[in-house]
Amino acid sequence: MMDFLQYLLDGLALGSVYALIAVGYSMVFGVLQLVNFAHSELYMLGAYLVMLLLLQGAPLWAALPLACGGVGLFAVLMERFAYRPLRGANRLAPLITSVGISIFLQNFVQAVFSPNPQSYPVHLPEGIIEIGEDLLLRQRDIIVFALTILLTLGLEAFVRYTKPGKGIRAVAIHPQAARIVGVPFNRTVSLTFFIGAAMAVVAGALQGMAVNQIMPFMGVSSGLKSFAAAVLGGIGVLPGALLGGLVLGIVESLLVGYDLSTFKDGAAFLILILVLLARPQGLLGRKVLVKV
Amino acid sequence: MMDFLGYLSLPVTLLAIFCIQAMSLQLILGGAGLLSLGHAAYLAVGGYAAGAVTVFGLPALGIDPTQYPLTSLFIAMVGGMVAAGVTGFLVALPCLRLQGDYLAMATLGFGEIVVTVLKNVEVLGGTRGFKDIPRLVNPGVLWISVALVGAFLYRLYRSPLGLAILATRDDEIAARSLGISTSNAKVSAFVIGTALAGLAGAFHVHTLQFISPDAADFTRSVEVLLAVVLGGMFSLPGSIFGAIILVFVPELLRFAPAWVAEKRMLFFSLVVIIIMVRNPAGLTAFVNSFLLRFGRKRGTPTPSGGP
Amino acid sequence: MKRLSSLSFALAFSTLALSSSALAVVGEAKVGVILPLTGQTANFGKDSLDGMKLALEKDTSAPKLNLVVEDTLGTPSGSATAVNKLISSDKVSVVIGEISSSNTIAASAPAQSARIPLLTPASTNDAITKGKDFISRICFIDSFQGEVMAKFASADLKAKTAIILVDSDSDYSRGLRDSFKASFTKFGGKVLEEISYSQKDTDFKAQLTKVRKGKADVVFLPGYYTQVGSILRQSAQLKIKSQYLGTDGWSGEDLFKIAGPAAAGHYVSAHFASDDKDPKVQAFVKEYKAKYNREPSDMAALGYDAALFIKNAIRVADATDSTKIKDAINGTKNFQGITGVISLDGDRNAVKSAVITKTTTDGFKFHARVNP
Repeated sequence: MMDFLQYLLDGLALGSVYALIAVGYSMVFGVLQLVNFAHSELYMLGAYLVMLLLLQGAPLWAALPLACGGVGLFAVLMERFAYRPLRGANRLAPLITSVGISIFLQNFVQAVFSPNPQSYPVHLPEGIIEIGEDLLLRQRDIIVFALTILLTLGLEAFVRYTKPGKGIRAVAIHPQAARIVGVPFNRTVSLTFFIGAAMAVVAGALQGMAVNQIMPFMGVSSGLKSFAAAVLGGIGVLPGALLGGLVLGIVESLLVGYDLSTFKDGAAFLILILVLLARPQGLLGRKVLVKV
Repeated sequence: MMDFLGYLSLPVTLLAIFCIQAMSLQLILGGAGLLSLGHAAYLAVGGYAAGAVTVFGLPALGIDPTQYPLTSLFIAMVGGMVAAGVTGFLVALPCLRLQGDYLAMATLGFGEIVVTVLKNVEVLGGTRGFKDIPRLVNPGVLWISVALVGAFLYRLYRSPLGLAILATRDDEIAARSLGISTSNAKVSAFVIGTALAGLAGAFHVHTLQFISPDAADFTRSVEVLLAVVLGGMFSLPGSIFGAIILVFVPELLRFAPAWVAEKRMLFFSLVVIIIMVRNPAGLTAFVNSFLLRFGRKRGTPTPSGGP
Repeated sequence: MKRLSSLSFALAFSTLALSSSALAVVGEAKVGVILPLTGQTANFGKDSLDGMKLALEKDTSAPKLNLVVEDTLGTPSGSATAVNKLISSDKVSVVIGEISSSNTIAASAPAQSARIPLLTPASTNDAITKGKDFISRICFIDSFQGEVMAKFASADLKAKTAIILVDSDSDYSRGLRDSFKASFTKFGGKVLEEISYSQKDTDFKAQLTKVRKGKADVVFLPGYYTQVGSILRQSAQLKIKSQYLGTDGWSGEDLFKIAGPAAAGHYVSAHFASDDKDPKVQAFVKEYKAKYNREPSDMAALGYDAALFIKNAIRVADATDSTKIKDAINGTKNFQGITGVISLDGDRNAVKSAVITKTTTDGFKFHARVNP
């Protein structure tokens, strides 16, 4: 029983990283119906950019916002020059483009930094907390989880109570109507990309500080699973991304704990498919009516 | 000159296999309009099955594959196609009633599940991969197969089933109103496509003599997706053209100045991005049919002014 | 995928010398090299290639080896593709590589079918050479290595209990687990638990929590340095007290970078130690340091030996015909290498001694030598 609890708690930290990345997938899809496959590379870029800034001597509290700004700006430009021209075209065109950007970024970072794992100059506190005989928590896991909850709540508040935030929600619900009431469409889309990227950057930095290892391809598997998490939770819905990420993290942690770790990648997708078949809008999503 | 041709023999062999795989996806994606993002899984399943036939099946029957290469290869091909086709059928049943984007996600999910399943089949090597598969492929058999597959699909598109598939893609509701069984059409396209991918898989393992579970993963699926889309996803010869681009452009870049050659994938992906962004026009001619198939009726954003 | 352009040495003089020489010794040969130059085992590839290049620079006698190097990306499928390319496109006479056992296994079938000899400098899994007469190696095998560490644990460290951490994605790791388990049990020890991890993992908390609970005397960790580094580091964070035992897969400089201070204090079996007093070893270390500005690892030493071993075999075969080279390789006896005296036995494996090293803040240091 204690084992189960242990694995559950471990899963929360793991799931937090998925959740932070999932937010970006979810928001962009909500606003543009676009799966931005390059999003996981924003996570990777964030990890590298923060590392670079830290190596230059910047303190963490400065490096993180700077990197968020930098990668966020990149995401905005990416949307402007690669996706916006394709808005009239069919569904696949931006998808393929996002894949192309994804491959490009992986190879770019590989060329600039080297394909091998890099260690991180700053680490999360390495202390442990023992609860009784059986439970062992790491300080870094608690920090990651707490930070994720805070950020997600903050983002939800932003989207609920501020004007630009409401604009994002409006566009996600009905772009035409949003335009009619005066929501600046392009600016809102850019904002969405920026926020999604910023969250991904935080995820990347946290990951680097936690495991002391980043590589150009770190986005590949985390990205797919985060995407599954976003769909699981309800794509287009923020708390859904959080829930989906945490659920996936817990499932993975349980599998590893009970010696079924070779199944953990497939499990995420099995859950995804079951949800899609039973409840396509995800756990927290709104059901969308398709008019015939 | 002979050296150069000899140099090309492996890429050309891999190209043939890739052509078959690309054509098989073209049927599903461009022909039936089904957004299948996990297509590499079927090549992998076909490959593993074909390898199992020659490494376990035939010896169990007392036949040594290296003694009878062509027959063994043929039996393995059949095994691969059946395995992949059945897998495709099992995936199609639950998934084909999902709408566009969700279908894409589900097929992607299935692809990754196949990776996991293959990792756990210890007798086929598990995560370490399936090794020591006999080399049975010769280029003649391979290219004849490419031609046969091409001819088959060409005739298929002009047959009643093929026309039903195309009609289902263009306007499912109209097709149904004409009495076409659209689910039949979709499932058929999917199963035929995945079986052909399995054929490519059988060739793959009997050429490289090795296959590992990550042959089924999303990165591999993306490669074949790129080939089909770059070449023009609505045309069958387009998928061959795309396959050629995807195999030969990186190979040609190898002969460019060293600083370019070492970063081949970097430049190649840049080329892909530029092509897609500058030239979606070729795809927009069919925009309407696609919007009907995939679009959410709440309206897709349109560019605010501009070209 | 990344490819390196081929290294070429001067052609004209050798051909001239060849035609005018009464002995008609083979002037040059095309040698393929498959190594992990990128990926999780990139340290191995780099060190190995550096060792080979140093050897060929130092020994300029005939035959000249033209190395054609392909990056395997450190994966089995990359290795299969790389060896296929070298054989069909570059038409090499012989291939050296790979380092990781799973990768060498993947490359061995194409090499055997094409009847091109493949010599691995460092792959230790027993199964690699079985039944394939074109596949050979100049290093010891895992049934020996596992026994060495089991004996050390039992006799020297007086360990009664052990836990094994296995990399389930690696033939190497699994083979060593089997041989350690068998030997340790034979010496009276008890293996409490076998715990698996994957090369894709970066977080080992679940596994290490079990190790912590197990409280074994030693933890046998036959993995590759990328994961081992993270495991050691995280193990120290969880305040695990057991002694770790490692194998030659630990041998990468990134181990110390990733693990930090947690890397020190463990015993590791290896092919060579750079502070070994043997004059031949010291001469090699000196040259290597002069050229590359760092200490050679045992992968570098094995690369050095492999290059000269192949050169010798081609000289003995006196031909660039692959079958003749294969025969020469398989028949080599008493080749004097940096990593020991190499004689290939009936299974084309080298019978050599192993070195036990200790990890310190200064790298791997010689601890003991164990003879077969």
